[in-house]
Amino acid sequence: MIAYEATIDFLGVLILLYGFVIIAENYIHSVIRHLQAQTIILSLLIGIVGFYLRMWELIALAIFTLIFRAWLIPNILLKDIKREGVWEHREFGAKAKSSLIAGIITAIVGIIAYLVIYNVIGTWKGMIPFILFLFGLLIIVMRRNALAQISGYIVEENALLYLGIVLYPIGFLLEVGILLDVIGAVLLAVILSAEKEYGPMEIEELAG
Amino acid sequence: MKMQEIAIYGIFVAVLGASLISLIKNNTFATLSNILASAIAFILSLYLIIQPDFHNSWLYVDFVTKVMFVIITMIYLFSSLHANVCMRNIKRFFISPNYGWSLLAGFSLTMLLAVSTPSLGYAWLWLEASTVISATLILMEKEKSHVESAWRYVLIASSGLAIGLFSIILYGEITGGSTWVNATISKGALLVGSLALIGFGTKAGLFPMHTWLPDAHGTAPSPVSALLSGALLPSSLIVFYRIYGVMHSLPLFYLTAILGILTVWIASLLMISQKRTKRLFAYSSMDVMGIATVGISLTYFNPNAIYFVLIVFLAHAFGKSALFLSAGTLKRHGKEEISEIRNLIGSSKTLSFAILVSTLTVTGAPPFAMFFGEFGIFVTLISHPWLIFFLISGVLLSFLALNYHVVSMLFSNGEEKRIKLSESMVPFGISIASLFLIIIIYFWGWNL
Repeated sequence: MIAYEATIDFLGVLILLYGFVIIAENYIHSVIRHLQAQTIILSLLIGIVGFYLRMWELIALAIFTLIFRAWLIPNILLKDIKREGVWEHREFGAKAKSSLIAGIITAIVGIIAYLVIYNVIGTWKGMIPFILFLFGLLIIVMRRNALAQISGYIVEENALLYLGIVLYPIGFLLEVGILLDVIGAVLLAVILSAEKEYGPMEIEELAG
Repeated sequence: MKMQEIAIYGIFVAVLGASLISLIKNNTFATLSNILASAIAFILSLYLIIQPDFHNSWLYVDFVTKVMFVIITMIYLFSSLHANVCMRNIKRFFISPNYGWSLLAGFSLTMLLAVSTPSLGYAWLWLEASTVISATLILMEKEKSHVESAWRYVLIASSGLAIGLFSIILYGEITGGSTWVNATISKGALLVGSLALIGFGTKAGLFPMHTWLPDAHGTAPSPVSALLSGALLPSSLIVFYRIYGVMHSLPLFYLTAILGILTVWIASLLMISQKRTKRLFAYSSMDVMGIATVGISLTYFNPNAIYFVLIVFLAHAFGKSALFLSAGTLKRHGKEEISEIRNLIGSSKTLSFAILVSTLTVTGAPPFAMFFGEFGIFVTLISHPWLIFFLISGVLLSFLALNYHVVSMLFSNGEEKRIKLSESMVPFGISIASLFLIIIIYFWGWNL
């Protein structure tokens, strides 16, 4: 029991650290690699929880996440940016130092905000995914490039699955995981198709 | 199998069937299958109204669900009937028209499933599925502005719904289940309820999470805009209503009512400066959802307040589908800006009639159907004088803003460019039906 919880906590901290790295990273290629690593760790975490609780849905979810989000989506993205040489080393335009400071402030705000949740549910288990969720929102709001916003969306997806796994590991998480990945795939297809026609999509602001 | 069960499955099978048949690459076939399926689904929904409630482990069909079934299938029928008029506007297709038809049926199906499940988790799932399907429908026309709108819509709506899922996970952790039927919550009602309000409120276009709404409604093909406005926004609010019913918290009542009133005010103020017809109608939808949110908040004191909300949704479904489909007809004649539309009464009497009646309906002018719903909400709110003052003043402002623009389009001087009768028949038919709705609501209202 102690070893199981320590493993889950250790993997959770690794996922959060990758969240910081993704926020601070400035190159598309590296962001995709970090997302891939974060998702592999998440799949491992889901698999361990599923095995421990003997829930086949969670084991299936771990396999699906590994195949789809950790392998297929990143490889499509990497293949696409390699096709256009100029994009491989393209920068997002946000300064790494200021992004990291924004990430640290978000994490502190997240810890304070989580106190409200802690008072209700009486467990700290949801704190790391909660901060990660805020990181996802921060990336979406902070970055203007559509590909960078996808990375925020995937971080948010990872946070939601992680939160569901540690707080309330119920059956429909498998469907949630599949649906979130389908949305990710649709977003990707749209943006790649649009970028082929119109060039890099810089979304000036999320307010229409 | 009971009769109502057969009717419910009949609705699902008809809509799913149309979605699958439309995958065959034949536009005529897809059009006909959608019109037929939507008509069958609408008739079965009407039949369900007079049948007893039905529940099992994955379906919960009470009166609220039945009215939502009528609303969704009705707008799906109107959209299917008018879609060919609007599809002809599209110059370059991002996805081929038959896939568009398949997605239109799929979009309706996700909303039907979202409002009829007893599980909050699956309600979230179907609403999220409706996001991805409707975003693809916004992309039917290959334009950069459409890609950007769909992009904003998916990112904002999905991020909002992610907060909604967060609330459901917390709900599950506290109550030990994800169903709202006969559920009670011992702690954290304000926390779970506020997160659900933000999450599902984003999808319903509530302030300040509404920024996706004008863009998505404005760029989507008109039949899709009608479904987004008349069916999707109410479906999201109904899912929130299910959660709100379990929470039963006074602070949550104030939070929900204030957010609803703020939405009415912001939408009304933004309506004044609008230049494009569909964006104007989109902000009007936001305004109506604000009123409905106040109505839902009142179920804390009086559970029957939900009937007033349903009247608002029904009237809005008629009014807004006629307005968006009329906007589709006008777009076909190259008129999207409000300033370009002059002397519409000279161009088409039927289209002008549809726009006038629908505008009066959605702005709650007496004796149109929406008035009964709004009046019921005002009366239920009477014990909160400040809230009722701000709500009524916001509603009056929205009435003036929308009617000012519509009157300028209809009656100002300008050249007459004839619009064919066939292009205005569906909006005209909807506006006539909305007049009959007044009689139904009037007699139904006496029983409330």
